[in-house]
Amino acid sequence: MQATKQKRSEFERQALVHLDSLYGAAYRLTRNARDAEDLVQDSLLRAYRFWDSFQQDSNCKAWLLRIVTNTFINEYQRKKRSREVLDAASAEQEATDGVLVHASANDKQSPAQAMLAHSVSDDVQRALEQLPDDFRTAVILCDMQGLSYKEIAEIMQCPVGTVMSRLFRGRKLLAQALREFAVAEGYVKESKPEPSAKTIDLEKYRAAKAASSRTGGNRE
Amino acid sequence: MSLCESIDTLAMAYLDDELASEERRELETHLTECTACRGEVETARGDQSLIQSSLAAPRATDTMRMRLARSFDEADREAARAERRRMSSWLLPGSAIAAAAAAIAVFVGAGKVQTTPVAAHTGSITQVAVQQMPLEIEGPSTEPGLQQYFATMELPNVAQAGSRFVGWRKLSVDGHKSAMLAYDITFEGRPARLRVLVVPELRDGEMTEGDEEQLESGRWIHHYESQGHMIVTYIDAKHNGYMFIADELPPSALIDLVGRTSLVGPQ
Repeated sequence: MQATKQKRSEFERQALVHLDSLYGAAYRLTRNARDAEDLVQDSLLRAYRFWDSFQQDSNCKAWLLRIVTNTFINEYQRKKRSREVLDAASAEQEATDGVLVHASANDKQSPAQAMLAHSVSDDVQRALEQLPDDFRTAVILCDMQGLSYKEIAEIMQCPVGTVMSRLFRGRKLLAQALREFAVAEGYVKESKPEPSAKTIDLEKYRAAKAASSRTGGNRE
Repeated sequence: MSLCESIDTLAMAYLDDELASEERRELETHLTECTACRGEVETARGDQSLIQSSLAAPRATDTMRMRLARSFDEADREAARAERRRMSSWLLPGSAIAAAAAAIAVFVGAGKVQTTPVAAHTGSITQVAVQQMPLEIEGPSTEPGLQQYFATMELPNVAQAGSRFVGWRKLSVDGHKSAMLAYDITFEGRPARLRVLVVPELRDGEMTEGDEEQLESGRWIHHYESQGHMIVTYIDAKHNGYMFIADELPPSALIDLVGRTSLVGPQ
């Protein structure tokens, strides 16, 4: 009984302080408040169950985000796909749900805040919608959560180079989509950044640099 | 190997603070000399700040925090139940109990009621509770007599657990006028003989043996193991004590049963 209380208070002190961050990430991953709440709750319960296995000296937020990301990939994507197949006919209903869900996500906000969040975030959610999952996850973990490439690589179980190229392309696509929506609504003037086909990889850069300096540094 | 060639990689790593300090210095020097690369870094910076400001998300709501707290409470209770199940399998090997339970029909055997006069301690109540004694008055119709016997107190109602009142016997326990009640119940799919020792007007410290635990219903109970029996006790607001034994049920089920039995509310 005592051990349970201690575990609970430790978890609250170290893990639950990240609730807003986790919810934010979940909100951008699932793109709606209802799924985000479920995702965060499932993830935190999982984290609580495995709290004993958390390395106390490591980054708790990164550990929690890993659980959120994995839970999202494993369950919510699958759930969403099956739901999409089942509900293909009721797209209209879903549109209505979106509005209701949004209203509940914004409770505790002032009407002005809610208005602002609503008009801006609709664009963001639509823009995120267009990104492949891997790109979106990389961008959320880096630009929203401030994790390092290495931490993201561990969460996404891929090399750092892959993280960088997903981030690079994800950012280009997302920035472009955000600007397009802003253009459509008359916020900014049109200007399209051209997508790049270059390799984005710091390690390859370092390797190439080391190689070129070994061969006498023949600079072009 | 020119920096310009790798400016996409470098600009991104630079803005994400992933460059080694030497690489950063090298790039910064280059940027003072190269307009094209400076432009690339500024474009990337613009994209990043647009994205970062766009991604700001709503905070977790109070409703959600409350929902979370409740789900952690439930997880704690589930862990406690699992622990009890673990303990119970250690105390009572399953099939052996079922066989033993079938053999002990009612409160068979002799068993003269022991009355320990003054020095009241909970141990002797337990002694009485675990004894096998014949029912004095058998049959469901005997309940009104029991009601008269305990004119001033409410008796446990386990009807919601699908029970049948079997009978009861008068007892004197540590100077208390008490009674042993027997019910045949089916709880969570298991048939069981439930014995409840009812002891009115407890003195301080009586029937508080064992581990204290608060159930989902808010009810505080004690539970412990004695002579191979799992014993759960509950004291109501009027200091009436109830001691429950149901050997056929696993300890966790007995605890759940006590949680759901209608009794005078907690203190």
